Amino acid sequence: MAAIRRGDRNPVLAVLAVFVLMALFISPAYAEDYAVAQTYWHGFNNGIDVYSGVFALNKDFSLNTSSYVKYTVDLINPSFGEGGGGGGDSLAKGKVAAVSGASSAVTAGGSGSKDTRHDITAGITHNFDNIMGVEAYYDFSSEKDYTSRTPTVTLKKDLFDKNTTFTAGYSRNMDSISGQFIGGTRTRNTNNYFVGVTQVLSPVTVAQLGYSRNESKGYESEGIRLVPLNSTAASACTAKSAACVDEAFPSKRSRNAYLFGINHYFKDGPTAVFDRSSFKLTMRYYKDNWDIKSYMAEVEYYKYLTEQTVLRLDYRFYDQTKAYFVKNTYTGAEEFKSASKQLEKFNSHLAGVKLTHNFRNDDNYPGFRLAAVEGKYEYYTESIKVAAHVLMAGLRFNF
Amino acid sequence: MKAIFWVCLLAVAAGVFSGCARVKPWEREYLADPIMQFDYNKEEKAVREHFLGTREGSAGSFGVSGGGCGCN
Repeated sequence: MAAIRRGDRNPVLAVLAVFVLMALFISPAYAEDYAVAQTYWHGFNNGIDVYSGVFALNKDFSLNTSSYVKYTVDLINPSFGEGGGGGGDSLAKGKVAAVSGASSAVTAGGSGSKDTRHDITAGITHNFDNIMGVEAYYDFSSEKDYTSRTPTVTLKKDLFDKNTTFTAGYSRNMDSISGQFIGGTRTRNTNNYFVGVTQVLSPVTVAQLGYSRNESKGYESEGIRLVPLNSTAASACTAKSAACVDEAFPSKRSRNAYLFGINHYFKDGPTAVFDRSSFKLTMRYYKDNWDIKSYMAEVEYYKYLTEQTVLRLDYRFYDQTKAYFVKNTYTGAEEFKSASKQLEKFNSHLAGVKLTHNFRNDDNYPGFRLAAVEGKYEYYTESIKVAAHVLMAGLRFNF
Repeated sequence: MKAIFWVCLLAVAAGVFSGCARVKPWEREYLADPIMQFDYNKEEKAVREHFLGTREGSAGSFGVSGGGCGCN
């Protein structure tokens, strides 16, 4: 695929987003119309801060058709209130694999790097006379050194009085990477396939199974890291030299992931803990052709504290093996070399609490109204000495 | 952990294909509760998956609907 200029804007996405936004204000109101505004802070233990904003609108055109638009912005180490725009670093090619600045949390010089990521998603869902549901979305994500375009199509089919739902989906990531050590622009394309089934097991229990396969070809690194050779310290690799060389990854990567989830509602129980609460378990097994295997398990507990206030407690455990070409020390003779912590062996823990307060619908006041306010705190830690605090605050509106 | 995963998978698969769970629409009061949805707050879920996807060497099986990955 030909190189894509950094900062390019996709006219198709812009037209689609405008169409969806116009439809939001000229079509009648339906029960599923809502708007969401959320803000996040991810604070890493190496001084990196990521501030994020999410704005989404969901609008029904009819009983069978709805549209969705979402805009996300990630500000990595922003210069709030500082003059001069942060200096040259903010204009330099990326040292940050931005997304959420996460990868830079363990790379040299990451704490001083700045970046901004913009992400917009637009899509339409249509239900064909209860025969099948179709969802079509397009996502565009852009930062200084990385651009991604992703069309997605999903089909959903209900069976057995909607006790069973089959889902099949396909998306294609078309990525353009121009990290500071690449000296140009490289591309990577990924085909993603997903199939899943959701099954009602009882009036209070629902389960889910899923399988996904990803096939990626192209430049698999980000171009923001150098590999130290022999006894060179990683922190010393801020520029290419005989002792600090480019990362080299295989040009293909195939992934398989298997998901299981079950959700059970407690109407009442031996203690108040189980009154009007639910327990959700999610498990995932992953394996790819780089020999990385991972296990993930997450439990969530929801509890109605009052008729309108919901508490959520969650805990997630993750464990992965390393890629076959990852070594503690490289001599330079290896075909593949990595300085990415993402490919090393590690485990992680994520625990958090969230509160949501839902406001009652008042038919005397139709129109745009506040439906819910929410906030959460999570703590994330990895065995490779990475940790982060996560804060979120959000508002949900119905209209 | 792997054994537990596969046992749970087979148990649910048996329930799926047995067709024995026929919950009527008027019996779905609790299933319709937002706390029972797998993807009720999809905006929060997307941010979480994005954050973890950049940290971890694995990706996928989060579902395909709702937009692309845009992962780096």
